[in-house]
Amino acid sequence: MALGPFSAKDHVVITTLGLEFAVAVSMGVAVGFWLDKKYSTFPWAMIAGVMCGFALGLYIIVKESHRLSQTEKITEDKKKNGSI
Amino acid sequence: MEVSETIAHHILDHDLGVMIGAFHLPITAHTLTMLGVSIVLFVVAVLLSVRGKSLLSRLLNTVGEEYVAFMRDGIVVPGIGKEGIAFLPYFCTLFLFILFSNLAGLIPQMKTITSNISVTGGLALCSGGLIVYAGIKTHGLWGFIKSFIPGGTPWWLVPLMFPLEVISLIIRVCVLAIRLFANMLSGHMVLLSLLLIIFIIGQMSKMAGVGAAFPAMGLEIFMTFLELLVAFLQAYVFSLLTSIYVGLVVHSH
Amino acid sequence: MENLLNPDFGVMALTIVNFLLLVWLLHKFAWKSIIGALEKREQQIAQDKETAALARQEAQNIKAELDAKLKEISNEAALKMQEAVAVGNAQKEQILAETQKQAEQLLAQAKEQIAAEKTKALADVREQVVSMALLAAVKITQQQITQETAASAVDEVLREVKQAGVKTH
Repeated sequence: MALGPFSAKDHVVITTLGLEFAVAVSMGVAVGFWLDKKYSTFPWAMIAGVMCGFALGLYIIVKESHRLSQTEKITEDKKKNGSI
Repeated sequence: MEVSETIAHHILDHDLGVMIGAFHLPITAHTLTMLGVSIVLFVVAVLLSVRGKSLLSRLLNTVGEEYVAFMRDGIVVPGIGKEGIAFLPYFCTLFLFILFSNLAGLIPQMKTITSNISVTGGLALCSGGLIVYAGIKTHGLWGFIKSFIPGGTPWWLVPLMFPLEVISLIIRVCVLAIRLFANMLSGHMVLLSLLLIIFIIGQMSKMAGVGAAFPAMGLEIFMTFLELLVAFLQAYVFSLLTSIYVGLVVHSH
Repeated sequence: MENLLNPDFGVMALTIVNFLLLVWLLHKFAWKSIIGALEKREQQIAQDKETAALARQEAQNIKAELDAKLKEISNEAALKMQEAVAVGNAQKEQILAETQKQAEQLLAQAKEQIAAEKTKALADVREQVVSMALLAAVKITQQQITQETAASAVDEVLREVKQAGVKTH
């Protein structure tokens, strides 16, 4: 799976991936913390939230990179077919 | 005055505390600046669009057309494709609004309103609304909901995938807000901290403070130019990301 | 510093209202006309391009046509030239033949003439010879004449002359 050359659009998406991962984990923490406060089960909901957030972040990253390699392939195919 | 207090004073919003009865109006330094930015933006855009025979108005018209062409060919069409041209006015306004808001902080008495999470959150919510609107407009309501589930998902994974996809859309909107907010806030803070270096060192000894002023001012000028670059870059990135997300929703099956 | 990350929903709502209002206002007052002008200009450019391409196509067509015509003309000219050369050659042959014939005729005429001249000259000579002989005879006879000798001498001279005339003819 060859990466690059990327367009400006892809660069923006790639640089956003890190932030998306961070926000996913922080959202998990926030939701877990809020649940903990509500039901006073201090660390457990937060830990679960961290894990869910982590999984969600990984899911986003994998999906995004899959999509990027897919578009890469599409443009390559188009180049091969001479339609670009 | 404490350093953290000074920074907070400069960065945080100041509520003017206007009340109508029991209702608390959100009239703050930031919203006032936003109003100013909006008025300036409106005047500039109308100036760009007014047709005229004089050289100046022709020049302004050309600038306006070039700007719109750039937004169309540089942001909307690469992100969304031909279908996105209907949303062109939104992106034109979005880019200029964010740019002017970012640059407003460089003018004395104005605030960098994009370093306020509420403002960037509001902008991101508008973009999120646009994403949902574009999805519903192209696929219909049911098609839009179905488009959250990627093609080829087994039926037993649907209850897992659907929330994941919805939450990732929400995360995208959050990321839009947080990215702009963090970039503008950090730039603002760095500028302020560089200035504060002079006073912190000056409290220890006056001569050292004078000595520190020169490198600090050099760095300050450098950072100001960097901030100018970041202002353009973040406006561009915000618009481009919005268009990419709209394009993802429009082209999903 | 704590409320840095706490969104103020009033400000957020105001931002949304402000921004959407701005989008609507600018769409109505600015972007519509700018986008219209841009599209008009691009349409104009596309049209101009199309017209230019059309004109170019037309020019190429005309050029091809002219080229073909030119070629045709030069072909024709070459053909004509060939024809002219052939005609010239034929004429040359004809003239040559004619000339030769004429020359031969002239030669023959000349020969004939020469022959005629020759006979004429011979006749002249003979006449002169005759007259000279006569003169000589007269002289001689005047010196030693007698009737008989004179007569026989005349006869003899006449016979001789006759013989000479027979010889020459």
